[in-house]
Amino acid sequence: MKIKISILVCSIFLSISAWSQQDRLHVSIQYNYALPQGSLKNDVVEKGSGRGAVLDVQYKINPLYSIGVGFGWQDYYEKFPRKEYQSGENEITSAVLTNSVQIIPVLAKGRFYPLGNEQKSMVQPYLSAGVGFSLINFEQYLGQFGGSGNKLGFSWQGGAGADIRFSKTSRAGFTAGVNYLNSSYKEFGFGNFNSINIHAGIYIPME
Amino acid sequence: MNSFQKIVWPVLFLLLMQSCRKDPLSDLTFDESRIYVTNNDPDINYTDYTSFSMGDSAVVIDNGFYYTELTDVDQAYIDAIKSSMQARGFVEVSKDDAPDLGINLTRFYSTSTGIIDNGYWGGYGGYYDPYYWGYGGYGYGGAPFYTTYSYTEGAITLDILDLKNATENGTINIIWNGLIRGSGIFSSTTAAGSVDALFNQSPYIQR
Repeated sequence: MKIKISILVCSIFLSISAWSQQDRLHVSIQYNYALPQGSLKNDVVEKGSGRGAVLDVQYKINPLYSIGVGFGWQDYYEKFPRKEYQSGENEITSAVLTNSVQIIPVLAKGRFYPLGNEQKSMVQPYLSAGVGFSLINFEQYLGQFGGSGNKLGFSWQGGAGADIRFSKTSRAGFTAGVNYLNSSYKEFGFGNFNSINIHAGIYIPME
Repeated sequence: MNSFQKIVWPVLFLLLMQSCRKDPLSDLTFDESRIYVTNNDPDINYTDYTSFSMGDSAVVIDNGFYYTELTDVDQAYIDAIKSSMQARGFVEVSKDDAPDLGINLTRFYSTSTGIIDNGYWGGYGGYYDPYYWGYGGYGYGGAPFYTTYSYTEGAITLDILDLKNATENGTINIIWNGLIRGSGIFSSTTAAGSVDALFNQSPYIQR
């Protein structure tokens, strides 16, 4: 399965590369590791999630700024040992509790490149900010019995990172960074489902 | 890249990532899949009761039809219930010796309505024939139980009945019930463990 996924991802990039003519428009695909924060950590999952990815498309307005759109996907999962829960006034339920959450942010993003000299430097640090919405799918199971719900909520993101060209003449390179994602989730008494994200991958021109 | 392709790639990305999701149900063992739910009447003091008698068979409710039956699985549950009650200081007597408490065992199979909900006793008046306990013409009463789960597949329930005060109350009150749901519940090998789980979360059932 993982080999098939890898082949598909490589095929996507080779296809995109073939269409690329200039380098003002870039696409990046990155692996994402997420550390839950706030209500997501306190009430739903305590562990970090290594099942995530980010797809960003950025258009360079000038050497200092770029704008674009970003898609993300993160899967959180945690199974808690059997425990007794007060499920009614005089009712006790003993069960293994499983929480499963998928967060899919779709954000309008902007970047600021403080060096602004992309032709001279191999490394281009940047600051980024984004705003948009997140689709949140939350499933909760007591034993094998559970339910799910989807919620669309406001999201914003702020972060920093760096693009590193493969070589001095390359228009593609590595990219990595850290950001904080806030996703509104005001359901069932929960607060926002926030996360600190560490991401790394590659970018290529796609115009 | 044309507009269609620009839309297709994010969709492909999200579909690809969704396939990487960890399935919560496939990560459960049979034991972890099971839930144990108990309801009790908080006004009952079990030290007021001395003896009990167990029904000699199980009531089977199958798609709206009900009948009594005694299988190896039922016998395993009946044995386990007797052991648990005796370990808590209650004395088993014949149903003809005026037991203080009666215990019913019920097996549920696929039924179209939420029969375990409040209508379980209120609507049907109890499946175990009141004549069995020597209270012909009496109905079953007590607190409305099973408010948390609707029932769609299989389940096993145990009910403790207040026979000691049936004449005074004019009804056979259900003072406790336990519900077992999940994988492997219709098995002789899981019966004792499941009954233990119900009694362990009901420490108030003690002489």
